[in-house]
Amino acid sequence: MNKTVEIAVRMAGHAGEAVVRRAAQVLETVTADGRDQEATRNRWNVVTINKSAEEICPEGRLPAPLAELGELIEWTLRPAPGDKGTEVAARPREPARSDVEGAVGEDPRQRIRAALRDAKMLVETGEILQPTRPGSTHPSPLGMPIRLAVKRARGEGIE
Amino acid sequence: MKAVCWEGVNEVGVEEVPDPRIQNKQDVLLKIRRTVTCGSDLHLISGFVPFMESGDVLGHEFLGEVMEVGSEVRNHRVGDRVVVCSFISCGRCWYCTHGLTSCCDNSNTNPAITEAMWGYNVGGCFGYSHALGGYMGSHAPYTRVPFADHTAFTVPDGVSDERALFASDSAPTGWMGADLGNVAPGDIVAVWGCGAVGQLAARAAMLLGAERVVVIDRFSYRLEMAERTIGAETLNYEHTAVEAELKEITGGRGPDVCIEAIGMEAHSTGPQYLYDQVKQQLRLQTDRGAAVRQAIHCCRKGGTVFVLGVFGGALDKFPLGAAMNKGLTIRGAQQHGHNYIPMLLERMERDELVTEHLATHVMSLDDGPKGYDYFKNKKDNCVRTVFLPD
Repeated sequence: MNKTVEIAVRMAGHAGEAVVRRAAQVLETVTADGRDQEATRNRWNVVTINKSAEEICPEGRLPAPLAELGELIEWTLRPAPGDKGTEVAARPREPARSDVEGAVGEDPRQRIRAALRDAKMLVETGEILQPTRPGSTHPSPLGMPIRLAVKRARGEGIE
Repeated sequence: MKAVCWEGVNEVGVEEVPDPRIQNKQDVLLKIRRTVTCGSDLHLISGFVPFMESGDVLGHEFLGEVMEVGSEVRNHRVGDRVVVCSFISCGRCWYCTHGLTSCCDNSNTNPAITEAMWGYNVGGCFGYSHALGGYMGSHAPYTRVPFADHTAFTVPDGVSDERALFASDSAPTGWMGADLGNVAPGDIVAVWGCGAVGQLAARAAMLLGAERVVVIDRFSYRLEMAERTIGAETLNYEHTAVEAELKEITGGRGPDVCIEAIGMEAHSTGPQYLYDQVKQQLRLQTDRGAAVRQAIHCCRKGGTVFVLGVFGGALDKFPLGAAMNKGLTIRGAQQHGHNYIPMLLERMERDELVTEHLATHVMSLDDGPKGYDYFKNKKDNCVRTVFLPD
């Protein structure tokens, strides 16, 4: 099989799973009533940090990655069950106006999820782990889907 | 520096790549002394892990010398000889503090990829695709080790490089299969796969008190090695009806613990193999699971099946009925090696655990493509190819 076609088929096969999953989510969304869609866009983003509330927010100060979002977010803390630490929740004061707006990357939830991840890492380990730079990857058209995935891989997620 | 890189499906090359550097305060920069091929690299090379790009450096099982330390590294100094766990552990998230170190919350810098694939992210791993963090691999003269206080382990003076190398991945992976498979004194254990991980899982089961250990493969030279070096009994599935043999060996009960050490490219005999190949090549399933199916079928009622082999996605014809009706415990994991490596190094020092026989071929980094050709195609009775950067 031609190498390019072979790689494309392999990528497509794995992408197929994600496409089917995303289609199911879209179907679920469009068949839900308007109130449910709004609830989805207003949902809290939550992360569990393996520390106490006092260690996460000494003197009520948020960890820097969340503090930098300022008035963009509202936030809350609650103890996690068992010995799992503290749940930190945040959401935008102004949610995305539509799923389309969210999907193209302007959704503030992307920034919030990345800030939650960074805050967790900072509080638990003392620093934010940096990806390897410069990497050794050769940019090529075949690698574009991977680079797009990596670009969003610290945020809310890839569907 | 030069490094052994993934260049495309079934293409491995030696390329010039940027030198790594300290990027975080808890990093060390390591001069690689030895780095070894692993069966799970073959899944990358064959294109079954779709998050590799041309130029990505391969390798995740290695040992080296500390060249430079970040300002917050406490456990290592320049000149230390260390073996590095293939999975990176922050040591402080809930998963790391509860022994599930390969599930580390903080070490994968691309977490949303595995969240999309598997629901939640797993930890980062050297040289194992952008889905596991995109870290440069170890088949190079130097590499960066993040969270080094938790991911790198000082090698005792009494353990040679040749032996300690396998404390990076094969030995802890094998040990984990026996440990989390709950191998207990008096057990009969069956291990599918007679590569390095399978052999070391068999040895771990013996050290944990198993009465009998049976290793299953199709390559006679590997089975002979396991008999001679590990002391395991063996079955060649191309010459023997494995299920019937195991039934008789165990007095009609079945093995107490079944360890699968093959992964997503399992071979088998008969129409099942053709079926799996066709479905995998057409991407109607991502993984070929003949060995894990047989392990579930052979396991005694109430026994444990531990999946050590790497799987990536979806497996067809999974025998859930056998698992449910026999009351099996099924577990699996990428290696939580951080729990075991210090203990394994001590056992290596006492000669309880020997590994150097696994390095059947030793080559220079320049021979990377040849090394993987020998390893993948089992040429010249290859079990593992070790690369020396110098």
